[in-house]
Amino acid sequence: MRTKLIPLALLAAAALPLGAQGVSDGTVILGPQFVSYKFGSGSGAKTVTELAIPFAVILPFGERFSIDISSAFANAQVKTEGSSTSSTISGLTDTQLRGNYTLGDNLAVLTLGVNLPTGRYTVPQAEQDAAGQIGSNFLVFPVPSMGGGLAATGGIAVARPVGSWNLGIGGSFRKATEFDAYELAAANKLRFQPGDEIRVRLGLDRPVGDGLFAMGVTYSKFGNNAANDTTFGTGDRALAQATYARPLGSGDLQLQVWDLYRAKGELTSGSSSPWENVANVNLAIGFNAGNVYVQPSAEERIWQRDGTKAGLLTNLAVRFRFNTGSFSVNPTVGYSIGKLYAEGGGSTTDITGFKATLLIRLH
Amino acid sequence: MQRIGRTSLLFALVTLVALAPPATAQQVVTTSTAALAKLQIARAANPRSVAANRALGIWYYKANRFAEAREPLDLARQLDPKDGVSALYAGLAAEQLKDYTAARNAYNAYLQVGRTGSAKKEITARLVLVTKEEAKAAARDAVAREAQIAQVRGTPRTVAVLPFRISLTDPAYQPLDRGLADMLITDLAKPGKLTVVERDRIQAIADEIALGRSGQVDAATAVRAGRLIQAGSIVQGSLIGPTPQAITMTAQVFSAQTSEQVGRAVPQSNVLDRLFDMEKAIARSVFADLNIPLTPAELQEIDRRPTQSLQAFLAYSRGLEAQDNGRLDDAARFFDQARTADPGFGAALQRAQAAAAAQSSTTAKVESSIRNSAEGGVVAAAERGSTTTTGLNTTLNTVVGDVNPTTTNTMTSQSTTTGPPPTQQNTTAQATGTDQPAQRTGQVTIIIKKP
Repeated sequence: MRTKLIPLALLAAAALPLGAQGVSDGTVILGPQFVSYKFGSGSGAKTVTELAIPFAVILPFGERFSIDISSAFANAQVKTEGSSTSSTISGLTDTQLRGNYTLGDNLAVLTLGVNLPTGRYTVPQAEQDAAGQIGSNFLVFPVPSMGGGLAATGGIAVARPVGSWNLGIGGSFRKATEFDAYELAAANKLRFQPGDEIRVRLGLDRPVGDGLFAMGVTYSKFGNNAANDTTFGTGDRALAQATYARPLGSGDLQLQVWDLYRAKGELTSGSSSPWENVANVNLAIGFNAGNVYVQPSAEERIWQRDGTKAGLLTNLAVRFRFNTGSFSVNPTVGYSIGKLYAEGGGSTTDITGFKATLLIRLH
Repeated sequence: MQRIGRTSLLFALVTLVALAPPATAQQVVTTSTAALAKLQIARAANPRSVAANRALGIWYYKANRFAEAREPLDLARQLDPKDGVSALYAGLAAEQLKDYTAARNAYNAYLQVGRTGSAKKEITARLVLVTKEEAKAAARDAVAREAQIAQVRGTPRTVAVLPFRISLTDPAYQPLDRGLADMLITDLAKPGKLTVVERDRIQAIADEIALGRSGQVDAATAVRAGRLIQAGSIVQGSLIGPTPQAITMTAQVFSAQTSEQVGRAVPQSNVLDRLFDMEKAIARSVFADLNIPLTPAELQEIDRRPTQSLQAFLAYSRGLEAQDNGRLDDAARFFDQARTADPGFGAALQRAQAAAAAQSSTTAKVESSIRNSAEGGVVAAAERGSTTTTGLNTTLNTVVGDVNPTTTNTMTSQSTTTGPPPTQQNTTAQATGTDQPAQRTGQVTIIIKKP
């Protein structure tokens, strides 16, 4: 109960007039999202849904220092057609508290984050399926985890102009403490100790024509995890991203590409977890219709495991943006269609999905 | 216990939503004040910084404090005439203050030095309206200061062509008053030996003093109009005829200095179908009346017709009339008709495009046209109270978001409809393999290895 009070207190603090806090500027963001994927059809079809209400408060203290606090309420459910059982997990997730301090004239930023364990732990067996499914790198749920343990991350980011480019380099170290992740049979618990993580990031951006181009690669090196007495590694990760945005007529165009690679690792079961790669390309064209900004988009995502095709997903979505008073309101609706491919080829499973988001910013 | 937790959460969310508006209202003021204070400090620290003056000017513009926006923006332009964003916002601020001459100059500067193609397109459309408003404002000012202005006479080679006086039985030909003036202005300007006043300026003066509204313009009124425009010579044309088979075109040239007619004003009589021949002869006679000799090449250039179609020219003239009256949708339609009647009528195509673009042009569209461009980044920074020009803060934010990601990043980086890539992971799900979206029920299995 005590842990649940932490985000409550943060919410209450966020709702106070900021002037009373002595804060010069601030933003509150609330972004309810609903995502649902259905795998297969008829009896045996599985549906995974997540209703997430993430919220964030960004508080600058002067020109150089800012703190942001974020957490979420999430409800995830896995249901199978024709089965009387389902797996549901619900509650607050961890709360992330981060402070950023800028050095010089945008020379560097020192960042320190704490992951407060306000989420769900010692997850009962009936809820474990739902808790795991939202972690898919392929489907990318808005809240991927219900809890990751008390952890601290410290890092630095440096930016320098290099010719007509801006070069950004950063690195961080994350240390997490152990936590009771799952409840196992016979009243045992899965005591999980995440391995240390070192992240490095290299990025470049520059104006190109009328627009802006940015690209970057982030590499995460993980130490061994421990589950009770078993140690194992889940595989390092590399995320490459590139974005080009430019005005187009009275609107704009955005082309975004990313590729996530996770190296071969091990599972707690002792079996190996093959490498996987998720590649994604998204094209969005925005235009103004009266006072409303409309941004339809099309996205294609390909998932590979161990060198074979594992999944394909097409996302079509429309985002709207309008201002009312001091609120910036961004509703989005999307539809997904795709396939999952069985290991070793052969059978496929159809995927259909739906997404609705309502992002609200208070400036 | 869990029920209590959910109730608490619900209460917290409701509290947040309920309390947020007053907090936000205060925040807007505080935010604005803070950003302004930052920019003022930045400029005080470096009063001749282009970035500081530009950012301060943009901030004032965004806060609808247009008068205050002009000084720093003009200074930024002075310090760096190649700074497009300063020129753009100087133009926008000047337009909001109805200083159309300054707005036109600033917009034209942006067309020269600006970097965003879509903004240039919007500004080109905007200039149609700004130029028109500028002419109207100048006409009002000229009439208000007529006595003073009349003292300053233009040289004889500064020529104003007044709208033609049309006296034909069919009122459908009335718009030729502007079309013929437009064609004659174009022809008189071709050799480059005269300074010909733009038609918009003349039309604005004509509208201001109700010139020709009665259908009769005497020499004194024509000369008055010319003096208000500070032209040295005034051309007053007319097209008269009882039927299209017998019409006469004349152009009298008056001296603003003496108010006397200059030259002989040889009338041209023909059928309406030979309208262009008559206009060309009139153009030659004006040069003759002003004692300006023309070379054969110049004469040949004057004789070149923009169109051979009377129907196209009539539609074009209707377009000019509609444009003068502020009916841009009608103007675009008439110019389109002219282009359809004669696809080679270049001026009609140009005006059709300009009128179509101008009718939907707003200052807000000009502003939004640089969003997501490099120049738009400068504007966004100014709104936040930052004078940065290199966008290093954006670069830094991106790096921080990737090396120390939180849910805040996920929410703030939703620049596209489907959200950002997975920067955070579910370690336990990946460790147990329950993150795989297979068509099965997840199961956590642990093998305890012997030490």
